[in-house]
Amino acid sequence: MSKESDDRREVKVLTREKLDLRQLVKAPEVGPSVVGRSIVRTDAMLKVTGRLDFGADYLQDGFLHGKILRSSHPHALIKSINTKKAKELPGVAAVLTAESVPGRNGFGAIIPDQPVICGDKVRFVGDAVALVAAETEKIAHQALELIEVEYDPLPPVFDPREALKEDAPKIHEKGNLLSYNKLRKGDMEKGFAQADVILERTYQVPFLDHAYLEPDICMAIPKADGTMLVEGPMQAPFTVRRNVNAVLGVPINKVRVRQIPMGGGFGGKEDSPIDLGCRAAVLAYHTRRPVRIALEREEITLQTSKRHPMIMQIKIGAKKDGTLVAFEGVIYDEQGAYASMGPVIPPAGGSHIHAMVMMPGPYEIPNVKVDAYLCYTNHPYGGAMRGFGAPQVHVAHEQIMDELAEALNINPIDIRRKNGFREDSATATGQVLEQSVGLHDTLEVCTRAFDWDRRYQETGYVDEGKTKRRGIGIGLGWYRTSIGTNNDACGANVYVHEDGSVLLYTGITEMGQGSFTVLPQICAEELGVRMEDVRLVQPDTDVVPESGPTVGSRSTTLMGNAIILAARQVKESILEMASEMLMVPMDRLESRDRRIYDRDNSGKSLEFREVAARCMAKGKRLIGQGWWAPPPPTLDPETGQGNPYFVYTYSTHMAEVVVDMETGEVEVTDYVAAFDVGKAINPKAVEGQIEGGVAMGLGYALMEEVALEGGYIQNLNLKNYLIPTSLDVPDIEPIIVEVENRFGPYGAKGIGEMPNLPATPAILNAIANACGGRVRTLPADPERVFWAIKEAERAVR
Amino acid sequence: MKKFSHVNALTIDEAVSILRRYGDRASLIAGGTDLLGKMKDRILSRYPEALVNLKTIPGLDFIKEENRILEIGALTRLEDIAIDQTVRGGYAALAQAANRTASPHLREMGTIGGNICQDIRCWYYRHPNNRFPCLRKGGGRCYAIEGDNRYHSIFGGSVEEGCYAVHPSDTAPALIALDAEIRTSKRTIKAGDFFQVEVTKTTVLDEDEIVTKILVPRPPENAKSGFVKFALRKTIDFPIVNCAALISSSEGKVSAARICLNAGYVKPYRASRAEEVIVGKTFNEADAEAAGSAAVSEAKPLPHNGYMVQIAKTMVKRAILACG
Repeated sequence: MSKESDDRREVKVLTREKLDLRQLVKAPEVGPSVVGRSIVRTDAMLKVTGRLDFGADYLQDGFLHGKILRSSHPHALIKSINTKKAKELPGVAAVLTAESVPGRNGFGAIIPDQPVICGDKVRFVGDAVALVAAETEKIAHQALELIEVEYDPLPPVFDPREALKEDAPKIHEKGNLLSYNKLRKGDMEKGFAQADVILERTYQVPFLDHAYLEPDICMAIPKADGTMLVEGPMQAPFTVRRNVNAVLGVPINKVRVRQIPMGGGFGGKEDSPIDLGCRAAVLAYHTRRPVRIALEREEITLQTSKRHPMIMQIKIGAKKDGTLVAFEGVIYDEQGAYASMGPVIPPAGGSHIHAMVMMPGPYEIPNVKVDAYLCYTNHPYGGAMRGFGAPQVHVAHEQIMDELAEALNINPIDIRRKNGFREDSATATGQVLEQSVGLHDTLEVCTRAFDWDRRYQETGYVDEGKTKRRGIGIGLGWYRTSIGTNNDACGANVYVHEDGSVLLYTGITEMGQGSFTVLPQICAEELGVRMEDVRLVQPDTDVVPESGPTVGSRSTTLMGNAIILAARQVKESILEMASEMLMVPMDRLESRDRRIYDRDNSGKSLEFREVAARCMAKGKRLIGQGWWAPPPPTLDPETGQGNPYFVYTYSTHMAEVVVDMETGEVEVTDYVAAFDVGKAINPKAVEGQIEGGVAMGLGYALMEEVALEGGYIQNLNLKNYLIPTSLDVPDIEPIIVEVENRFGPYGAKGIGEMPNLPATPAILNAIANACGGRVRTLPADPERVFWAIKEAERAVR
Repeated sequence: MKKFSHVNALTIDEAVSILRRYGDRASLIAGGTDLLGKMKDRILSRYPEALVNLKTIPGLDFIKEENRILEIGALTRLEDIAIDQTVRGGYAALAQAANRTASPHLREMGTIGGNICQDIRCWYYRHPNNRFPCLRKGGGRCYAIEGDNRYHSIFGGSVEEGCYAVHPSDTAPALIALDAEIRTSKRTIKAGDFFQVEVTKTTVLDEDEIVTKILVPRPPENAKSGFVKFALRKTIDFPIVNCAALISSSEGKVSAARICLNAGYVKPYRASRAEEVIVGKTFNEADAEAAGSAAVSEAKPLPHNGYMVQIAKTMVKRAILACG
């Protein structure tokens, strides 16, 4: 098998200069460089042949098995816990309750408000009231059954609006309002006064589970020197370390966290490894033995984070010609039992403020007001999930744009052409988008590729029996690169060896998104070596520099820049040494494809490895360390004005659906998605992100929902928590547009989370276009679509 | 999973005698696709102490047609039925039903005998770790009545106060529409009489009785059969409602009809009213729709499953049109 891409399908990559909208020709510049090529993933062979060891494959010899006794109530005081019988069961090594936690009895990505073990109170059914470690998983299960807990149930709160009421039961001492944020721009009264049409709509989205393929697992191994080693699949090893050290009450350097291969994360493995890491570490601390906690699928659904549900109210005003004049939004953002990634990290970090900033969509609107309430409830907690507050608001702003277009009798693409961001547009936060704004490029390319204008005329019944109708829909999207906090730096070390091979150290993790391919590509490009010369070191907090979490679609851009800085330091040594050896001035030398050569006389050259060996012998620097942080974010807490994120990715999606008018069943039959990614470091990897993201967005639109009843989850398993199967996902045509990001490595910006955002509303808009009914409460399952059709029929009569 | 002993039976008689020995503490296992899931999820309040393996009994895996009777051994896997040319040709509803059951993997494991003997579907009954000790498990109440009953029976419960769980088999309605018979270790039972409305059982089988084969009479030359299924995804899922029909016609007019719905009631639901309406009519949208409406005329939906009535009606309509 070739090391290069064997997939002969072409991924369309269009640069703005070469962007010929009439022909849609592929215009890549395939040179000898490593960047921009569809190199096969470094882990592809291992994964498809099943040779990559995931956590469940790790040897279990000598390990105790940890299990968690969870609450029987969504909200209750704990009256008593009796662990005597469980402790007496042969094979049980430890049964721990709250007082056993050696350090801080709390963890969390932002606020440590979630108890490692609940002592006085439980706040949702996933709460831990006791931990067990036993010789086998089976004994651990039996021990759980022997623990007796007496509860004093408290009235629960399940609706964020109820949670805000003065007489609502308090879930946490400080009350149920975790965060209230606002955005104020322009003059709302004046804005709405200019409007010819004003629409008011409410959209609602449920809790979603990540449904990653690999169940969570964590291993805590106490070392003889008192260090606690924590291993597991995780997106944020440094955040895990920061929590485990506090929970154990030891300094940071006494905890070592190693990331192991990860079978999907989607944001979910940012929170859960903190949870499991702390709990496994506490069990290991008490038993002085290695402890592994492997969650079963039902436990994952019960215990781990979800995508936040939101109730989103919008009032929007526009002139007859479609020009937007005012936007007023309210978000009731349900946090669930614990803070997780919801609350604000100043100035613009946390999912809640991100949702607020993104709510008005990628549109220029002079007058904007958003009020966003983040509320505790007795439900599972909302955390990060691919889009971090943005998928929810995309469901709202893209649907109301279509509803507005309909009210104004304008083509849905024209209203977006009129209002969509361009270079120098001002966002709702007053940020002027000075560069890398490819929204319109994606819109025009997508319109062509999808053949929107023709299809827009061809909607209606598709069968003789008049039971099925076809429709098309559009969704625009925008998404940040970075996380909007003042703590967003990435560090990388590059270590060149005497044979020219390279070790690359970063704290960015691989969860399927392709970082372990893209980051070495950048490193190889900058050093002038081949892709196979670079080996990426598995993230390990003892070994790699702090890189922050693998979130926010930040890895390629932020870490890419850090790698370039690190590689340049080494390259400087190499070129200095080569200059001496070749007796050619340094500025004439170039490093490319394992050779250092004189640009003016390419016959004069040295092998990269000879120069590296000489550097090593002479004691010249072969280790580089780069740190890079994006331009600092700003956001005024009173007005929500500022520059929260330094660059955005833009996208247009178009979907065709067929709706069964008698059953409400929806089939997505065709799909085109165009993205401005700045620069595709690896087009095939970008394509993978796009296709996976669209499938995920389709699930959000049509079927996914954590079904809750009285605080309990009804669909704990993937047999009734439905995600799309391969048969439910259409062929997707991805198109990559490159509008250079001045701040990105080779012009790149983030793509990881983006692709699922516009997919959901594109499909919802297509459904409305097909059947006349609009589903404003997700998911648009057949039943909801059916009732929406009936409602629309009644309205016509 | 709880511990159990696994006993290989070599003959039907041996399996029967093991069943007698264990009384109600044993379960039969063939493909195991339903049973093992139940045991692993710890949904039961009592577990079988022994599983009696039928796969070791020779001669129960066959499909043959003799004297216009299709015979299918109880251990025949659903995939084999789905792809069998004889079944597809003369007994289309059954082949289609087998083909729409679960996923390719499960069809390669699950047997026709197991498919008709499978347990009911209800997310309270099947909630992991026996969280809801419901009526069917000897508990005091049916949680679906006041709970989330969007996928429960639209034609009433086993008894007044529950169980509203549905029978999820795809092949059962096809067998009833085709007027099949179920041969057991004791007797021969009409498919239409095989399923039972009882809180703790799904079939009329005695504790020591084993299904050995299925007999399906070849439909008359002027008849066509068909099966339609509505599920939330294109594969894997259990039906929200399915429907099988066998319709004879002469000169474009329906002369006889057998129509059976499933997943809408505690057992397969024979749509007799629809049969009455469609006989004498031609195959057209309006009459098929009228038959669909007739099929659900006695529906008593629960607070959250009114939509299933619409689906049942549409499935009857489409099953009829599929036979035209």
